[in-house]
Amino acid sequence: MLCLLIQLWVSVRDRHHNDVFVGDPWDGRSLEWATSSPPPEYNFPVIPEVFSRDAFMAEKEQGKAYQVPDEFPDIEMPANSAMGVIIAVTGTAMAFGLTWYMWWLVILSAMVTLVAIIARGYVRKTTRTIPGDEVRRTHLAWIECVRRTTPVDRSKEQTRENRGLPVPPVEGAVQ
Amino acid sequence: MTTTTKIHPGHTDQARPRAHHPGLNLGPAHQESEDTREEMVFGFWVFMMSDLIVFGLLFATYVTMLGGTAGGPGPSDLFELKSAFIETMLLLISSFTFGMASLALKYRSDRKVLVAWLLVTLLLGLGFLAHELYDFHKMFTEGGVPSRSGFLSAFFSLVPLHGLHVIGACIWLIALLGQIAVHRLDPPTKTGLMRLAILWHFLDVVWIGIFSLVYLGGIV
Repeated sequence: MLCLLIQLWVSVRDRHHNDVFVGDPWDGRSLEWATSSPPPEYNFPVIPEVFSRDAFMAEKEQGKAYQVPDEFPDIEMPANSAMGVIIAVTGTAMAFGLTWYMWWLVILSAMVTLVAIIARGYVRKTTRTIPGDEVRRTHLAWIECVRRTTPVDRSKEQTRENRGLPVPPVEGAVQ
Repeated sequence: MTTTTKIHPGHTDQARPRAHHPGLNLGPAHQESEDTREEMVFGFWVFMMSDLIVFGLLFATYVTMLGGTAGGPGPSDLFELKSAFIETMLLLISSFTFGMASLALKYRSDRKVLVAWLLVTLLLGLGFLAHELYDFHKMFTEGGVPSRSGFLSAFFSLVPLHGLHVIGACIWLIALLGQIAVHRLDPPTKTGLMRLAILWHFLDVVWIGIFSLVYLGGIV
């Protein structure tokens, strides 16, 4: 628990020092490195098409990484909902009640869960649309950041100069 | 619904043909419900199959526990065919009335007929539950409690679990009646009714298994 808190504290303290918004600090091979860090909630502006294993490395080798798609369609995302938090609280309370034979707590949390589930059935707005323009702005800002960033080779990966963009494979270290 | 074009992540081929799911399909008159029903109803079928595995396991447990009465009351001491038959009839008729409700949903624009059939179904479901609880109460007074023997533990794992499902289905039905009142028959209400129909008929099928294996098998 203490180590967890220390880790959290160090992560928050060094967040600017270790910022790698470009998203690819370790010259990664697969698609999770092919978007910004932190990524937008929809991960990719358009669904990437994959033609090989290690798709991102293949893109980088062909110089096709960090492309701007021709068009940015609207993206439909799940709308925010309190259900996750409610179930987390009632689930924990119910498990606690069952462990310690606190039946009033078990019944109470079961009832709250049931009411929440029924109420959820009445919700009709379960999705939210992110306009294509917003997606475009977000993506172009990231691409601009990629352009402005100086690539680093493997020898400097662990230094502060690493802002998340490795040098292309042909010039870099042995892959 | 907004009028902007939406592209669902992962759905690149918007023009794919609509697959039909098992059971009653609403058909072309309910085009606006078509978009969601395929995934939602299919998902519910998958859940139903996993639920069936649970019942299958409990049936198997029950059969292996038949001899384990530990000197306590056995099937022929506790079960009454007449009572089980009444429960079977209540549930079978409720399945029929739910079928009528599904047909009303598909072919009638008037909500009254649909709601009437749903209310009849609900009453029959509640009648079944009342009768079953009365049966359990009678078994308790005759010493047939779950802790008495392995046989009774298996019985009370299997049959009340079915009853619990019926309670859940009744609550769901009431919630859907509320949704019909609030949202009219919009696509989510329609797919909700179709999924509840699957659950309702499924519970009927499981009860047929219970009636044949537990009650008929126990008395013969």
